[in-house]
Amino acid sequence: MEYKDYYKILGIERNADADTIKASYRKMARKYHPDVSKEKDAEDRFKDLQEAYEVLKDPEKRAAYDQLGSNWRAGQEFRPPPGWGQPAGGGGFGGAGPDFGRGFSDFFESIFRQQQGGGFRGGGGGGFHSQGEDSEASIRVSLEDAAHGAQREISLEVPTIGPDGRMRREARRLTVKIPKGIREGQRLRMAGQGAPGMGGGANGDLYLHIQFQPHPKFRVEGGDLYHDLHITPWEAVLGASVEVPTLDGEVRMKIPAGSTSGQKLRLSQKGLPGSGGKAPGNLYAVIQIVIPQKISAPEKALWNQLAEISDFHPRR
Amino acid sequence: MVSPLTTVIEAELLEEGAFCFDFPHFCTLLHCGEGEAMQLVRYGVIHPEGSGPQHWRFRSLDLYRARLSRRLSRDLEIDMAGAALAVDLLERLRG
Repeated sequence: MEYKDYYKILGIERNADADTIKASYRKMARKYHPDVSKEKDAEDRFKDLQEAYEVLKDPEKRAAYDQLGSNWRAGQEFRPPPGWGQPAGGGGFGGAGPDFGRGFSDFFESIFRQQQGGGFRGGGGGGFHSQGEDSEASIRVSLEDAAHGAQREISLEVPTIGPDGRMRREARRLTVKIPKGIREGQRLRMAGQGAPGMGGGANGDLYLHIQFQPHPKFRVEGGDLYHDLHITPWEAVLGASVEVPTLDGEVRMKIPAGSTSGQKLRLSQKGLPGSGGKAPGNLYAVIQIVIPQKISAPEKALWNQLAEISDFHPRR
Repeated sequence: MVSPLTTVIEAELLEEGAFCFDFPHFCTLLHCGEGEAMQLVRYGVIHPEGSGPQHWRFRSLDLYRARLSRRLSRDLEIDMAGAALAVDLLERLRG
């Protein structure tokens, strides 16, 4: 196992006093708390912080840790010294309590668990009970699945309790029902699918944050969809009936004569369906007049003819 | 060929969950005493429907907010007023 430099983790000197330890923990905890942080490795960093604080805020544990000496380097291969943690007339520094259920590292366990008689194996009556922590994850769903509802299989890494009674991470596959009309940013609660409870405590819940996959044809704003509708200059001038994609297939829409780029045409209630009593969104076709880049000689002649006879002067 | 048994997990849309837990049930789900739950209401962490504990009804969003508040209080060593503010700000950022 690897040695952990708790002082380095908290960014403090080895002679730091209790107030410095507390202040540094609080400052770094705000930065790396998984409910707050956007850092990729926030969960692991925060776990290290908690472990370091658990040891250094407790004078007994800190003294025991300091006994290891200051020559160790973070990440260095570590084995507890022979006879480490054996009672020396005073009971040692095993320290029962909920900190052993928080998934601390092997290093922590090897130093502070010597006096423990087995830890938490769950199901025992009368001992320590703890409810499992809630877990959170993101799930990307397509607009089609959001509009129509779907069942999707997801793979997650979730904390579980191993046969040795210790917390570890395990891959799990779940099939989840995506409700029709779900919107980006909403959350799905899956009761009892979070981290396991200990000592007979209930499991935590799993919360899935909904993100939409980018769609090749639509942008989403709330429940409304936006589609860039490419039309020709003559369709813009003369008007036309064109096909427009929706989440339920294509529909025909009339382009009024004299349409301009950026103009929005609304297809009522063709956006995302409403849920929980909300009205369905609309679909907006945003007109984009596309100019041909390659034209044939006859086409060029016709454009020239148009230029000669037209009295349209947009810059006057 | 027999297909493997798949358990489909029913999920509840947090933002649209119904007010379905009464006060004792909510306290059981949160593993807390009534006093702590009343404090959470008082500090505006959770927002039950109904007047007074006997008529209060909570929804899953309250459970989420209460647990988030507890984690923040415990891990960041802040009091309930601070945790309530943090929960509101986090929810606003998320929305």
